Amino acid sequence: MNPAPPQRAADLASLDPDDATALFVERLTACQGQLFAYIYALTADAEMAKDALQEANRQLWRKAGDYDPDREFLPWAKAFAFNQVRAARTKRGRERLVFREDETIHAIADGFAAEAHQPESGGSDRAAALEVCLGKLGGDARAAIDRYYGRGEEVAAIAESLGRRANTVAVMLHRARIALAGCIRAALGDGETEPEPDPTL
Amino acid sequence: MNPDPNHESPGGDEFDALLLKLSLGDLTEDERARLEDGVRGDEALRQRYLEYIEIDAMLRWRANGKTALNAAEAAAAAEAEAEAEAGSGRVPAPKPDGRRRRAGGRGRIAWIGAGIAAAAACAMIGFLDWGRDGGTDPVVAGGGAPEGAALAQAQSHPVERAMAKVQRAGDWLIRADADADFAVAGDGALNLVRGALYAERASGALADADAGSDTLTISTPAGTVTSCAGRFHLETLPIENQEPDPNMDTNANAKPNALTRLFVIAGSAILANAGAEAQTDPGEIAAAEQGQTPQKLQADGNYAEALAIYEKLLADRGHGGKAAADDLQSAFQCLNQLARYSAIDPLLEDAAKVHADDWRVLWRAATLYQNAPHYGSMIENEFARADQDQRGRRIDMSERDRIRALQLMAAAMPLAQRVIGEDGAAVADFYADLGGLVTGGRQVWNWQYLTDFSKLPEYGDPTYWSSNGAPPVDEEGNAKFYEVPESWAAAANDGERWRWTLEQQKKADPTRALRVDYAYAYHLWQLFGVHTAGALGTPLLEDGEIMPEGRYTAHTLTKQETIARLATGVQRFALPAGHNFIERFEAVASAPLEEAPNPLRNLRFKLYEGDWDKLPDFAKLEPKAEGEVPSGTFDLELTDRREHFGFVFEGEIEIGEAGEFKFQIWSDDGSRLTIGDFVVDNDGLHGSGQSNTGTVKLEAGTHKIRAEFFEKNGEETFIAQCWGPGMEEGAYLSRMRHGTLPQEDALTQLAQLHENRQQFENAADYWRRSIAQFGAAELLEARPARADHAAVGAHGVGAPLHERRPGRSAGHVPQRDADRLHRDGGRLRGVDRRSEGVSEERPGAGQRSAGAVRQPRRAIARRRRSQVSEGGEGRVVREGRSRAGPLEPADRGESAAAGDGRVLDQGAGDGRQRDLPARLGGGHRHRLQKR
Repeated sequence: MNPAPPQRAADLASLDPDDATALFVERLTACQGQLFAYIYALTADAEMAKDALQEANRQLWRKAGDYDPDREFLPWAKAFAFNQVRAARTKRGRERLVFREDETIHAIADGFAAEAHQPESGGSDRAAALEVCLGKLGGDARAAIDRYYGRGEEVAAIAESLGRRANTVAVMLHRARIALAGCIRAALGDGETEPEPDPTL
Repeated sequence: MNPDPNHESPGGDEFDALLLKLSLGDLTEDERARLEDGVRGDEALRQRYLEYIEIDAMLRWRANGKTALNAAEAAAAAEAEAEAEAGSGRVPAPKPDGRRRRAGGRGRIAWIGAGIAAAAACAMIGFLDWGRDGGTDPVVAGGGAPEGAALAQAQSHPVERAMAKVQRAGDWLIRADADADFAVAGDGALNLVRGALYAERASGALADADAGSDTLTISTPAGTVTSCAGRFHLETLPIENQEPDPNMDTNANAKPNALTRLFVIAGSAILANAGAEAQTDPGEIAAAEQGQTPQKLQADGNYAEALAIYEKLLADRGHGGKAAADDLQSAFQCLNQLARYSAIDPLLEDAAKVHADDWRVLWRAATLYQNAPHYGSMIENEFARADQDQRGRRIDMSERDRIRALQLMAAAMPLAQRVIGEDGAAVADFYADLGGLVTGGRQVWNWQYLTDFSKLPEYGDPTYWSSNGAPPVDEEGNAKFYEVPESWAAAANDGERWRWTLEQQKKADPTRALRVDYAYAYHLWQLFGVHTAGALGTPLLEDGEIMPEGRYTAHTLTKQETIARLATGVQRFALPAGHNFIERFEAVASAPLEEAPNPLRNLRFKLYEGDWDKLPDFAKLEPKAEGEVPSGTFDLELTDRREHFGFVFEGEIEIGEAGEFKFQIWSDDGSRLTIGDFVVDNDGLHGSGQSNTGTVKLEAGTHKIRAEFFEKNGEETFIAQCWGPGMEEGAYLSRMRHGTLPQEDALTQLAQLHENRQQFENAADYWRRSIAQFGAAELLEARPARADHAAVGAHGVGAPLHERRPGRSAGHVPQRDADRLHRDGGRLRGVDRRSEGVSEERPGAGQRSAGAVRQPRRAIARRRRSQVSEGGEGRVVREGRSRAGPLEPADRGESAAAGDGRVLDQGAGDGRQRDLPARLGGGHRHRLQKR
């Protein structure tokens, strides 16, 4: 599952086609999470993001031959993803979008590109940091995260089994996300914030 | 934490609360707008949003635990598509980086297969690991062939929360939505009770050699889907809002009715049940309700049942684009069949409402409004369209329908504009339709006004029709012309709007720019050509007699002048710049030819005779004739035989620049094209509409090329065209080609309009140019109007040509041509026999006359060449083995048949005449001969 370390550009030219394809698959595979995040950020809609990612992957695969291994993969793939998002937006209809202005998604795309913590390694550092930070979460918050994301349970169902109000669980999840974001920022060395234990949990 | 709506832009706390609501998916419209304002306008908030959403994304992604799966699926899907395309003759063109590109297609496929295998293996392992380590219930035992496994816990895995699960059924990969209720029923068999799934045939290294069944059969409550290759999406859903049938016992145990919808992405699949069966190909949707597909129901005359399914499909926002537009049209047809005309308006309005963001549906709704019956009655203040009883006040709806169609088109316009880069040809068609609506089949008189479509006319508002067909004039008595406006909104009248739609057609699809230019020139000529003066019934000029000098004497006209009937009567006037049809035709005629030069070299032919049902092994047969091919192209004119013959052409094709080349061949009957190891096969008995295509990489230089063709009986056609570097517009390898080029049409028009102006020198010049550029080859179509005219021509006698033709058989005259002949002949005889009858419609005679592009036909034109050049005597003969070229000295009056302009099949020696299908308008089958 873990992506292979990125190859140096100088090595790529000497690859034979089979290796080039393997490399392409590796890179495409490795950046899936980041592509999903990118599309998800642009759409703020998981269902739409899922479909757009699927379509972007298909397009990417078809254009595999156009990929120059010397170039960074993610920016190239993002361009496909962005186009798919635009197509999906058109298809969905404006009034069903969270972000209705083209200007907004361009701003989001720019903001995404500006983030420094997007190495070609496929974001594995962030993924590792997430695991560490999840370990630091309080028991109920961790359980809520696992049930909500892992098992796909509805907030209401989780609340019922915990004997809490749905809104409480929603806020718990919300705060856990914010805490995780802070923790990851800290773990990657660009901040001092530790995950704050949530007093309500 | 509470949002404060009074803030200019959301504060931190408010934004936080908005993020919470976003995560729960219950933003109100105001909150959504606040969120968007924050993300768009405030960089700090945007960063906050990104950080938050990224965590959300990572958690969702982590939960899926199948990072590789999407990539593997995409690969498999792409390959399945590639295979499907290769199977249908269209070869996809994956272009690996030049250094790594492999020569053959086969290596490429294997190459992809290996990649998929790696990725897929990775995916499967990852999936299983997730199932164990995540501590969640393993929903699917992936990887193996879990026969009979019950799957999917719908409640705990709503679609938004979990990605699809992949598993195999024999050689098939199944990805069901998480809430689908389905089970593998055995090797290559599934039951889908509810929900959606994707299925695709594993291929390459993903395919399991041990897997048994090639076909996948999915049983659903509404029908069975069977596919043996490809990729498709299938959905079974309960029919909602079904009204209980009062005649039926309510049975609590009865299963709810289910609707199964099949969308084929690649390959084909059959949706069948006891009642119906429909094969569905890529891009098509089939639906079955209670075992019936709507198309089948409709074809069987069960319009009400079909309509019910179409209406359900149309109510689904997710079902859009051309498929939904087609369903709308089908539903419309059902209503017409059922004579439920009153339901037409609700059908179209509902579709337009549900698919308000789908330009194709809006466009189709507009078109259907134009096709609806435009009358009805007011009954108790309700409008009843096409009311059969004719109760109540009768209402003419044509203008109201046109206005409503215009409103829908206006709504679709910005949406269509967005896809101009992806689907330019369709958008160009859209603008052609819009142009037709603007001019609306109305007399040109109405074009000077701006139709107000901001509101619909009331039912029963009178429609004003101008009875004067002549073009209007301004206050000074000059003819009105319309310029291209800056924009749709800036147009001052419908004439300008129409011109704007023409320009949009060119922008959307630059390949038809010349055709559109031709259309405008043709429109001007229709309105202001000298024939309009004669159409009054007062002959302007008699045959063979030049009228005395005077204001209306056509032969004295300069290139800037015309004589035309305006609203104020017949006038002689100068055409303003930009609206001079002679100059405009000239511009089209002088445009560089788009067609690439013939790349064939050293072409030789062998002619065979025999009766075959498919291409024989010509090597075992003795050719009846052989030699060089003078025309240098695949040329069926090399023989006079029309049945039971075959050709082999062999030579070289010269490639100037290496690259990928696409070859397409059309033939009636079978043909095959071979370049090295590369073959395009179009064998078998079929009509000329059947073609096949292939793509091959060719190095620069010459390559051996071979074409084989055979004809059993009936019509015969062989067209071959090739595209590639240096041949972007397509080069013809065959003597026969599709249609005529606008350049040639323009020359024909110029020649004819100068004939009308009695300026025969000029006309002859244009004929000469046309012959020099396009050859003197002649096509005799079953176009009675023209034949009639030609036969009358300078001699003014005789029945229409087609009635006098010996040997004319049904096999040679397609019925549609015969029908058209009858129609045109009648009209032409009644109107204006001498002025050229090239136009199929008079100005304003139909809404399409201006927006759509008409091609003048060449049959009469070519015949006229001989008349002009020869002073009225000439004959058109089919000639055997010689190239098309300039006119040769003629032998006049060799036979009586020649004198009446009849076309002889001299080569066959029996005076038979040949007709080609009208669609092959450019066929070079006959040529002028003068000796």
